[in-house]
Amino acid sequence: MTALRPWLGRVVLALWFASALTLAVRQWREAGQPRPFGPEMPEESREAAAAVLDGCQRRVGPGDMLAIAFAMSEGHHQFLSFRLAYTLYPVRVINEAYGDGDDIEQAVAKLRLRRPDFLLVLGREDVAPAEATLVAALAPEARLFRLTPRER
Amino acid sequence: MGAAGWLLVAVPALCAFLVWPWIASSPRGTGERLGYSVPAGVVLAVTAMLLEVHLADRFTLAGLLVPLGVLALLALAATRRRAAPRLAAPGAPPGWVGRLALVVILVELGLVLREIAVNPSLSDWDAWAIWGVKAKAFFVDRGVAGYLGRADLYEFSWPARPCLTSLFQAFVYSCRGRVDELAVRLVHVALTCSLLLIFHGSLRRRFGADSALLWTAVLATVPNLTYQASAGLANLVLGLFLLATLAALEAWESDARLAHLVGPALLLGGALLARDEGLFLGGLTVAVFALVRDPGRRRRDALGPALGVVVGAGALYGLWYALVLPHAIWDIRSMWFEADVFPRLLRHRPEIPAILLGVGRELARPVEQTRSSPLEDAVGMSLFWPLFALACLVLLSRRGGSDLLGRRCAVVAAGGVSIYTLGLILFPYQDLSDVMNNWLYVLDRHALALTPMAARAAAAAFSLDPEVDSAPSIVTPPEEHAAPARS
Repeated sequence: MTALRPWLGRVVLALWFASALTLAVRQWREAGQPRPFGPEMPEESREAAAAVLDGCQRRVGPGDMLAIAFAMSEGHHQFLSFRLAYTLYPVRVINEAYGDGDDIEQAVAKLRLRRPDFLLVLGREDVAPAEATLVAALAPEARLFRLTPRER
Repeated sequence: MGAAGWLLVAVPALCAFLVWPWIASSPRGTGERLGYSVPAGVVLAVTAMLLEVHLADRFTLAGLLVPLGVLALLALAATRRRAAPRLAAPGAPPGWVGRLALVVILVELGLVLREIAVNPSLSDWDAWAIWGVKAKAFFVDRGVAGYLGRADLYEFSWPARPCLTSLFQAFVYSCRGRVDELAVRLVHVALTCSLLLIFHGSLRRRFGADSALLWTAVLATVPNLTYQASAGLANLVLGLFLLATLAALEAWESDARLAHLVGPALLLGGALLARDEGLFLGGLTVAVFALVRDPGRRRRDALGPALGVVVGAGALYGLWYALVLPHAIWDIRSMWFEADVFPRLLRHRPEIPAILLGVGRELARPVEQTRSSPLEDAVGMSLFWPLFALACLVLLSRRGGSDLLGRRCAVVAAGGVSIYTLGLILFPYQDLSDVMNNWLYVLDRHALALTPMAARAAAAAFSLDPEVDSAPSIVTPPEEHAAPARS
């Protein structure tokens, strides 16, 4: 092994730099592409995600609590839910995932126990929670509701 | 705050640059000293923040910068009284091979900066959801109590996790006067440059200029590292602190002054505060320093200094842990210290070989997440960890050699992979496929913390140059070069 070491070293370095060259070429090609959300957000959902973030930022105040109900099956909903907690800080953001069928009602009921000021429903357009006022449809599957103090 | 904000961000590193010769064995050149200054500056700033939070519940920019400024002035005054000792200057300049390697390093850093120019925000999920959310909270609240007090709302960000980078991010935001993700990404690039400088300095003590630059270029082009260099994650930062600790401890052996243990203690403290596993990997690093010795040196001589460094670093870690403790937040480490850990280990004992095999297979597999190179994708194999395995075989066959740091790094990297593997086993899981599916896919990302050590071991194994003789010697500047002592 000791006698082979210099040759082994040369082979290792040659292989490594060939690999590094291909890496650099790919980095050069990829570096020009803006990726504001990372790979977790599907390409087709990025515009909608930006609209939701922007809409919530403009409508939810620092002292408010925002509740988010999102579809368990949609990975990018969870991403958006966490991203809202990051973007809106110090707004308190709570979330609850719902599955199929009527689970969303249960998720909303569970969220209401924390007495939030706003409710954001992701993934369903047909939901109209009781005692809630629609503030805005931020994106095709993102509706923001205001829960007034009396109605909470 | 425009340019002034950027200057303020650099104050901790500047302070550390001035203080470094008084708290650690001096590096060979300005580049290596600069390399140590950035991580040491980060730890100094974070220590000041934590102390201020303990004393006043919140931190202020003035409260952070004043002590750092005083420290820098004291170091300056001390330098005027007596020039700091420095190690011998490096030898011959690099040849064309070394210069080519330098071009590779600069091109790679240029590509990283180009990516930041196009995508200035933190886009990696963990970067904003774990480290970023804490940083923003600390900045907005000017303290940690607001975030820790509402930890249940931010469970996804692992609230109890030590967060050196988040605290320093909050410092950067405070200097910039706003949440500035571009600045954070640039700070991470600065930390990556520090890693390369320290790595290069450690090689330059033993090898020729060409070899040192070639292997630094290898480290700079590890695909996963090129991604994490600016992503805003803490794995690479942990790797930086681990390598810096070991290199600084080894440099300490050449002059063995008590005051020069402060620097290594700061760096180890950085490792403990960088990530959860820093506790184990940092402990392993110091243990390897104490136990893996040259034949002529006694192990017990290193135990005292090692203990001193651990106590100092532990005190820094305690500053964070004392803030978390009153909030009774669930901590990932409580999982590791659960009562049924050993029964669980015994239960899964027959699966350990299969898990180790799975770990090996995972580390040798190119995957999208680790940003393998197209060549690695084409051959269906990641090159780095198999290269490290080969390096270990070469080092074993050589039975020693004079590059002690290379051998120590090999032991820490191999032990670190074992620790990560043990971590996988200790998590509760249903069956073997469950642990493989849920944890192995992140292993390569986490193992980046060990990449600098593994690369250093590979350099020791395969370096083509004859090794430079002996440990570095201390050079005390002649009296006429030192500034006159004040009366």
